[in-house]
Amino acid sequence: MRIGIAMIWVLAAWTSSAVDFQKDIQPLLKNKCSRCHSGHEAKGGFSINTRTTLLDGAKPGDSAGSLLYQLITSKDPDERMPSKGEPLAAEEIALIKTWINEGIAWPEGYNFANWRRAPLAPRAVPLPAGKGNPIDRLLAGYLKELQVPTEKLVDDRTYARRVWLDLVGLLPPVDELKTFVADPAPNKRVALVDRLLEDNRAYADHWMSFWNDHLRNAYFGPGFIDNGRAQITAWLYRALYTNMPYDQFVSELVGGQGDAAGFVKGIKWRGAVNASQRREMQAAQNVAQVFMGTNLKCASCHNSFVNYWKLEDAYSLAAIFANDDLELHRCDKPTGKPAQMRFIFPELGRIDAKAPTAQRLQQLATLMTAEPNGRLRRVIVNRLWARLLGRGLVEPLDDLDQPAWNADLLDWLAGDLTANKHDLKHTLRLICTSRAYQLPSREAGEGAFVFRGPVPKRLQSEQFVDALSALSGQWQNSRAFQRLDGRKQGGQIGAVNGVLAEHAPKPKPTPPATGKPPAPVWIWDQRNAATSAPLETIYLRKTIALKEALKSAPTIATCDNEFTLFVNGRRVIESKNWAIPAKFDMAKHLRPGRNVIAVQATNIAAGAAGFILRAKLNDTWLLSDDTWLATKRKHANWHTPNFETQGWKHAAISGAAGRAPWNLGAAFDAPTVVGAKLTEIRAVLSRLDPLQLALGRPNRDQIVTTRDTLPTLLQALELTNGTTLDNTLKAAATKWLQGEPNPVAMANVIYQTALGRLPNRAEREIAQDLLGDKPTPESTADLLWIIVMLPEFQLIR
Amino acid sequence: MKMELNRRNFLTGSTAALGAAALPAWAKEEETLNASADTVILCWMAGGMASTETFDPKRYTPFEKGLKSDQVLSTFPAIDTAVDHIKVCQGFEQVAKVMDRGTLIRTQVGADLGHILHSRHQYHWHTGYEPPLTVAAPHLGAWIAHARGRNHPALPAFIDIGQTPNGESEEIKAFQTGGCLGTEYGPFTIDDPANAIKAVRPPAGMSPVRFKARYQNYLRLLKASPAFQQGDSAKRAQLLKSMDEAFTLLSSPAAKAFDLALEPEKNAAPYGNGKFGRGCLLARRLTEVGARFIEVTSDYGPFKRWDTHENGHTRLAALKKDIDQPLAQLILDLEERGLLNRTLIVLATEFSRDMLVEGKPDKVVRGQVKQPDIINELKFYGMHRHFTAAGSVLMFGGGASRGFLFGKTADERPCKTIENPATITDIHATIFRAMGIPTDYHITTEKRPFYATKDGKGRPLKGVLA
Repeated sequence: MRIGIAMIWVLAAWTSSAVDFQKDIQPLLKNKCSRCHSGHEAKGGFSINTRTTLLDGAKPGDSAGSLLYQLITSKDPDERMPSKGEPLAAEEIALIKTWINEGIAWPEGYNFANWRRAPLAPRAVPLPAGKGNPIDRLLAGYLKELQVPTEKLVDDRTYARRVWLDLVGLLPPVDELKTFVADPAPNKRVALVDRLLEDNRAYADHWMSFWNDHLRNAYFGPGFIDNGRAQITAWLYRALYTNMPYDQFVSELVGGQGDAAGFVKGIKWRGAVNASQRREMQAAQNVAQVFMGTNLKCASCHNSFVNYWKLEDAYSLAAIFANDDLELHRCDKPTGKPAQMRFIFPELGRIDAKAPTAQRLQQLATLMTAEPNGRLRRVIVNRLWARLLGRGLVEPLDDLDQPAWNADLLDWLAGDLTANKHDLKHTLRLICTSRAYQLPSREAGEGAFVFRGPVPKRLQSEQFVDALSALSGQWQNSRAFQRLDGRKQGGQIGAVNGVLAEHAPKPKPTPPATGKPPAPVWIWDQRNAATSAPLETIYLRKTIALKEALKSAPTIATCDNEFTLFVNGRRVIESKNWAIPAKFDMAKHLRPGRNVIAVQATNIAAGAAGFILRAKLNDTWLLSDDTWLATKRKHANWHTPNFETQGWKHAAISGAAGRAPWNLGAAFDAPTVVGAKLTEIRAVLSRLDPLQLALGRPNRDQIVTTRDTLPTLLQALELTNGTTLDNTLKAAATKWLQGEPNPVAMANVIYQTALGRLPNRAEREIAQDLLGDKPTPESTADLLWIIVMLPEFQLIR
Repeated sequence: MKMELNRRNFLTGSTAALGAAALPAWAKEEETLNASADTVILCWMAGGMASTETFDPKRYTPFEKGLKSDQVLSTFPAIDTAVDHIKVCQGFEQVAKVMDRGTLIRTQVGADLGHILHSRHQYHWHTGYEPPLTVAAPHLGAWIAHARGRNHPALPAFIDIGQTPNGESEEIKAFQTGGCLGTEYGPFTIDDPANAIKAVRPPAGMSPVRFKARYQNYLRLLKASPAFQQGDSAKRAQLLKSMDEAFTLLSSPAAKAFDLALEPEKNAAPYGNGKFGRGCLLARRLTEVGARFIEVTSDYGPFKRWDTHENGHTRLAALKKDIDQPLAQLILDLEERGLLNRTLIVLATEFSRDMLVEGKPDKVVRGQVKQPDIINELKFYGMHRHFTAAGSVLMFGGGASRGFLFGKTADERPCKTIENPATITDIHATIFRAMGIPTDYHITTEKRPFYATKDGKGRPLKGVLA
């Protein structure tokens, strides 16, 4: 191939080429083809961006055999190119023909796309002279130049609602709002911002949603079924609670160690996957998108049409994450080329290809977070700006090569973050105390963006649900999601409690009530049941002696896949989901003397099978182990106390509760968790329910850096007749009826709580009319529904 | 995105929309297609429906102890249908009678995803893409909702009936979505058709009078609020529009279609009391009012219903009773009401099953169901392994050819496709074509096109649409 091309070049030189690329070909391609076949456009999969992409439709030296030539000369108007406008003139066709026949000359590096590539390095921006917030000093020139009229800042109520929702995701409580408005101190807004940012718990709860979206951390989701993904819940909550410096935050995620490993691990459901979706490719795409603000997804399959990345760039980054040699695949087909290990911005430093994976990831983390990588900082300050002001300095947020509407501000904020030890709270504080943030909100409108103030935002799913909780006094259930299930899903509240316990003031040591309970083991009637048991039902028995009747006999048991448990011949419980162990009390079925526990256990498909049980019987334990008897044969009355177990053999042990594939160590080995630390559990830690789904909380199968917050019919239906909201409103009504049975007072407080203001006269009259003289649960629920449906409630203005 | 360039995709690609707008841009292009259907009803046989036990009968071997597994291809005898050259398996007597109203495709070829996970293949069937993906792929119904909009101003365009939570719920949720098209195009879900009316009436315990008053008071308080008096804004207007639409649906006569109790007993009886049957009845009622896309699932659950890892024969005999009569009745009812011509009914499944072959022939795959060489127990008599090399799909009405047979499979094991393979991409292309939607219909997400059929390259199956 190489020889062929060289020969054609020689030939072209020898015949003293008749066409000149710059003079003849470039203008022709530009005028006639580039609209549909260059830049981001590649109609029919054909792009003229580079010589390489053009060769998909043209053969050097063979115009007749080139699709490009065939199409420009076609007699069929449906097929002829250009598809719009006049066909090419005979001279133009002749030029193309010669150009192809002469070998398709192309200046080195020429690219029709002409991608903008933003500088990587930090840029020092001198701060304009003057007093006040640096953001406003930097923006003063911009606002003057674009003749943006200087608006008055928003009033205290609007500001408080905005800053509460933006920084901690909650409505300002009525009494705090009152105090704030009444406070005569000139710097009270700064003080409020500081106070909110100091509330580590509220801050972490709120920003957890943002980072769950960006890092696609799901508590439940595809992939967990096969250990194909891992949560980073505890790590993330800890990072936010302690305000981990952003360089360390990135470094730990990229390093992929310990309980941060889930981000790099990616998602695998099961079975074979497309080459562009291997774990290491996912890691490359995600690192590039989230931290570097660039899209490697297209380049994971082929040279990109949306930016300058090539297939080998995506693979070069992926190779750093790979444990084995990585071969480039183009559109899922092997190319035979090995990936070369390097970061996509190699000017930042080298990766030692010979080092072990963990070390390479550390090297990557180091060079990504080192100071010369100005882009890393620009990306995050831009995301924070967008989150608070409704639109980024650069849009889209994931393409930092696009020009900022104010590059000085972007670069200064990025440098300022570095100068302040990568303290994200510092940047948030700076933004929230700027005049720019305090301007009245303005919708972005059509046409080129001009900054005139924050763009109004819609309450996000979690903010909406938390606001409802504040109105109703009903928060999420703190007893749920304490532990991981057998697939290592859930457990998010337990994880957060663990983090809170690490940072809570140390309580006085109290003597342990009971020690760690002895652990039961998985049993079946045969060995190797954890990997290869047939589809079958087996029968298990255990005889125990008790001195006295028991007040309680708390029991936890589960079976892969299904079991029914009998005590002394009476059916006590049946369970069909091994991943969620059954918890029950056997006390009332037990009696002094001899007792028989009998279990019918079924494996509903060939593969892993096992049964496990632990019961506390006063000061002794009943555990599943090889003292249990087992058989495959179903005998009559096998479950009754007087049955003779002739021919039964001892059960075989498969291993500890925590062994694969069940991973139920947390449920069966750990002592009972005493009292949750969390009381008011916020929506961020709940499971994705239909209401939150309808309101746009993503499922986290993909990275989401900007949520879809458009109102839709499905959402409105959920809000109008959905069970979740309806139940919350009923509970809220009960609460309000206890407090303020007087309709006027009630309307006042509801307005203050939900909207941060008193109703005006007309509103008060309507509300009174609706509530009646004696508000009922129904009328109260209706008023609450109306208030939370108002755009004023649902928007952050 | 594949980049192989050939004359055909070069041309189809060139007529594709610029794709910048999220709205159906193709309508503005010169190429508009005539739709033969306005509604799609997808009857989803979740769990892997064995084709040699249903719509592709092979040599029948009745049960007896000592049968050799490698001799058994079908455990049901073939029966005649209304079409001379089409036979189906015993148990589909009612569908057999209406076979002349539709097309039978016998050569659905699934993706080769290795170690089987049903929900992953279901994801592939419903979106046309194999997960995991960098883009949230929309469900087939979401694409249709996006391209064609609602068929009745008050009814959600995409309605999903009958799926209950199960051990693979998370994976299933991943494709029951509008994906990158936005939540607006996602499914309106009804877990249990018997309770469908709950989804479209005021909350429990709220009278219609109170419901209406609540909305009127909402409008009064809205108008009285200072924010409203300050003037309109786009964001606020969108919110108000969505609220208005929800109120309109919940108080619309169209909502009655969801109430199965309103169906006269003599009409409802043929659909039986099974969940799938009730789902078909609901689909018929919604189609009469004006639905756009409805999926009625047989309800997936690991090892449940079509997911037969044992007792395949016995279980299928029972299962067919739940499917046969309701499906046939749906076809006949729509025909009688003059709606069959514009309603495309599709019956499909993620893949087929075989007694011995797992995945594609000649491939060793993890997690195969154990099957003895000699069958001595009835529980081993049936198709218990997952087979992706040939599966059956039915299409009735909505422009589907009548009495047409597409594709051919081998008569001996492996009973794979030997003529006219039908990829899931092309099956989708056929459905889109019937709905008048070009197969390179797409939106732009992250600056790149994302197509309704994979890479915009789906081709309608030849002859399946009349």
